[in-house]
Amino acid sequence: MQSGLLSSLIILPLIASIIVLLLPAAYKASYRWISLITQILLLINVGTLIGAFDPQKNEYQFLEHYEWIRLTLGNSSILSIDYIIGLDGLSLAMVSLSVLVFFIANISSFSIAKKEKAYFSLFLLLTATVIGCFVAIDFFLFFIFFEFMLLPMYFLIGIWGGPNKAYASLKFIIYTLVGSVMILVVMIALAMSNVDEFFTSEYKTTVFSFDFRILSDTNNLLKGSLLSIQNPIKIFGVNARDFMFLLLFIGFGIKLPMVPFHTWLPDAHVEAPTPISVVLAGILLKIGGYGLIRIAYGFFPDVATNYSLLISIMGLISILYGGFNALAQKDLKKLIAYSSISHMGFVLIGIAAFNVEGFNGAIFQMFSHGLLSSMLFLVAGVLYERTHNREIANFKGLAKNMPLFTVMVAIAFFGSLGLPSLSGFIGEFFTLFGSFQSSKIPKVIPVLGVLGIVLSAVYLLWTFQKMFFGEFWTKEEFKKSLTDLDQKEIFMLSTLGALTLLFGIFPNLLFDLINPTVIHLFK
Amino acid sequence: MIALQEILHSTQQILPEWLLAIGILALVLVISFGKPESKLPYGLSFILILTYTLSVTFFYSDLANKSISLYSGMLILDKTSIFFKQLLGISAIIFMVHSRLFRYKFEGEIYFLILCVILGLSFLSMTTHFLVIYIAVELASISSYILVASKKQKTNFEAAIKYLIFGAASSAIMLYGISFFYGISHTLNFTDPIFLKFTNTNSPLIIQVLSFMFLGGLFFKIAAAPFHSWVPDVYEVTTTPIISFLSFAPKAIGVLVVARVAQANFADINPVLLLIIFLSLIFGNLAALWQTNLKRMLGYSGIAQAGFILIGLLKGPQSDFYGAFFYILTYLPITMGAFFLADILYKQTGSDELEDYKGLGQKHIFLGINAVIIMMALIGLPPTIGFMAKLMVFSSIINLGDALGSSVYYGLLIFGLLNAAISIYYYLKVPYIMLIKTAYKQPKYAPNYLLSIVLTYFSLSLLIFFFFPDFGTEWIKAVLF
Repeated sequence: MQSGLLSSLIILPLIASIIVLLLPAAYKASYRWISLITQILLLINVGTLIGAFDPQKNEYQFLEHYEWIRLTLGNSSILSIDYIIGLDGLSLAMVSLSVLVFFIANISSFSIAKKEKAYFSLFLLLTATVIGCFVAIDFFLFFIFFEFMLLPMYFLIGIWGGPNKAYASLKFIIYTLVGSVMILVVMIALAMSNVDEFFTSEYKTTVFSFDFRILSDTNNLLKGSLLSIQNPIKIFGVNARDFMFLLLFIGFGIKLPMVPFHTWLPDAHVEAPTPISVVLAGILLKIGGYGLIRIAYGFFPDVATNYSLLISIMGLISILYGGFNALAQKDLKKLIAYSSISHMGFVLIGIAAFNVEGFNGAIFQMFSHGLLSSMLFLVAGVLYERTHNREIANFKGLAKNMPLFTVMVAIAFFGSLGLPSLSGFIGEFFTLFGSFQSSKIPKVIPVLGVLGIVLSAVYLLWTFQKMFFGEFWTKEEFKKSLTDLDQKEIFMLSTLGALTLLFGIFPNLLFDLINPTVIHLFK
Repeated sequence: MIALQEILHSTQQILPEWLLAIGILALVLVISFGKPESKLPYGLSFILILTYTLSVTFFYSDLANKSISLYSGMLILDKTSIFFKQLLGISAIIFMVHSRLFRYKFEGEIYFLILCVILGLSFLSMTTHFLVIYIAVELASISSYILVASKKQKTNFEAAIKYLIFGAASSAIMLYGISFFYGISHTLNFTDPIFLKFTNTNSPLIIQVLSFMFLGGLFFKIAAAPFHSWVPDVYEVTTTPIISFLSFAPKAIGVLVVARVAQANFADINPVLLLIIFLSLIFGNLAALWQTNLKRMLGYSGIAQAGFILIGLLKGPQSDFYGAFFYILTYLPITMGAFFLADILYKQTGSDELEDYKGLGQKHIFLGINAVIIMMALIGLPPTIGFMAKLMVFSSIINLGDALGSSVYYGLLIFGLLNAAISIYYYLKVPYIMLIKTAYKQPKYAPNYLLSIVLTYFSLSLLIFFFFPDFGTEWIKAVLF
């Protein structure tokens, strides 16, 4: 069935982006509406997809497959690159999260008052590439979207960012590009080792494929090739397969971000405008986790288990290091950025557990972190927009002045620190549960991981107490501007808050979608 | 009598070069006796270049897969050389169009020198004979020295002298290497079986050192480190269309000759190449990071790109230099597009300094977008053809590491890719300054829409060939050795 519904998720924002670019400046006011309408259409489309999706089917659904490039290599073998997109439970979860967060970020972008044309066309371009990244089933296609995402992001931070934007945007792009060249190495190596049996007999010459479905089946490995399992080739004394897995781990680890490759994240967040922070924390980080699950674990299952210990330790370090750093922050946005690092550490622990519970937990944690971190950055944005200041010490007793705001912040903070009945709890619980169950990692790691939850309680509650309780006090010049939420903000925050609550109480809404896929991954 | 017949037959076969040579003589007459302001030299050279390009394309249509030996082995004519001559012709046409669009008022001598470069490179593209290589390299080089000096400013003379001294030194080293080869084998053709016999009986190390000396002259033309010292100065001061042509044509033909040497397989030149690649990537990229002048930066970028191209020439049991040739093909629109962009920026601001381009992209958004696309192609980001080129070159290393079982090649792969990641810093600086920094002064001149449209052709071709690379790959496949 090639309905084109899935492609529309990529093509619609692309077209909208071009329309915004071509519209003359006289229609300036309409850019944001064009963008918003596109996001709503995407929401509707994804809603339709969720309705039509059958979680029990163990294959990609809504497949669209078009031949694209047949690169004839010198020795007359063929590199077959196709436009293949499709959805399984994992990618559907991520796509739904993306359209949701982009929708919210789009509303938040209404306050952008500088170079709207460029902003909205880049924003729509970013939407298309991120969604493309999640639905691509061809490694080459995935990589193109993955790389191309950097440019709009670079300009979005670089043009609309804060005072130190030049440094932050460059750091962001260089870090992620280093990560993506590592992924590129693996992509080339994988493609040169995996043969498409069907087309090989069809064309009567070796056809190398980038198709995920072929790459994930180790039976397709060419005998004697670089990545074949039977006779391993050594690279710098390490088996080629292990080497490639580690490259992927670092490559996606930078994106995740994992300590010690995380330093780009606080800088990028602090400088980025609010909606871009929301997108960055809400979705872009998830591509790291998605890549680890789909590509690193999906294509190298045989070596992945050997590195469970390493990965879980990296996860633990991220949790604790991020948590302690968050404790020390004076800037609200920086605190949230470090808490992001800490929370994404749970994803690593869940993945390292290498069992159904752990993977489910990791995916759920990504989804829930997408909702909660978007909320947190919106909260920081609310303050920044009113006062152009984010110092925690500058505010006190806000609850008196901004009761609605306080409620929303409470939901976001308690969700993040893992209060049961909010979604953050479920994700952290299942990742830790999975790692307790796992035979591959020592029990001490989840035990110490629990400390991360305690840490997050400490820094979030402390901040909450400092900023919202007690007598209302702030600098004189801020006092007038500190009004409670307006309708736009209420809408954004309450939507996210309601979803957090919904998924906290009925986690099965998501688990039903992803569980069959995860179980299938382990077969 | 047989010799005479051979000469006559050979002379018929290189008709395009003959036409060009006779045309050059005619041009000299026109320049000498025509009016100084006359447009005749331009018209005549354009016709000559068109004739040359068309004749190499259609004259040899029946050549098929043969490789013809001419002048008793001094020249060989095969489809690879024709492919490179076509590229040469196309780049020369772009040069002519470029200089016309920007209304450069060149004296006739410039066209004469450009044609001499084409003639030299054209011979260089079809020979495996040491002496012919030397003469052809010298013909192209000497013309280039004068071209660099042609602007007649102090900086140009300085650059030209640097170019001349380094060129002369490289040529001397090359000649020295050749004389050793001749001493060992008593033959001057490196595909000659006798030559192979003698090189095989000597110690491989000696042959490698001699090859390095011989190849030095070619690396000089390719602008690869450590023969690169002339590049930045020359690129910075030479008139833009001229350096645009010189940044592509000698590099392409130089790569072809190195490929022929690798193909002849009289020495294992992989260690030599690895050293050159390593140095070129590191020197080119690191030095480019600090540049503030666009053309100088493009010079260093040219050194780094030479490193990437040479990766495709590393030889394994099955290699066919596919990656390198494909890279060369894509490098034509990329580098000449970049210089076209540089010239447009110069025309609007009167400066080559990056700082002076502040806010230019905000004023003319399409100029900014074009800059992004061209720089992305230089970095090798999708969706531009630069990505495909890098993909080809790097997949050839994976095959090589696979076949030779040596970790060095995987090391090179990662090293090369990290270099590509570093290069994003200086390439992106151009669109960054144009789009993100705010302008503190108005551009001097209004944009010229014709120029912007031509620039858009360049960047569109970079995008379109990414989505439909078959045209290029089929072409390359047909012309491999």
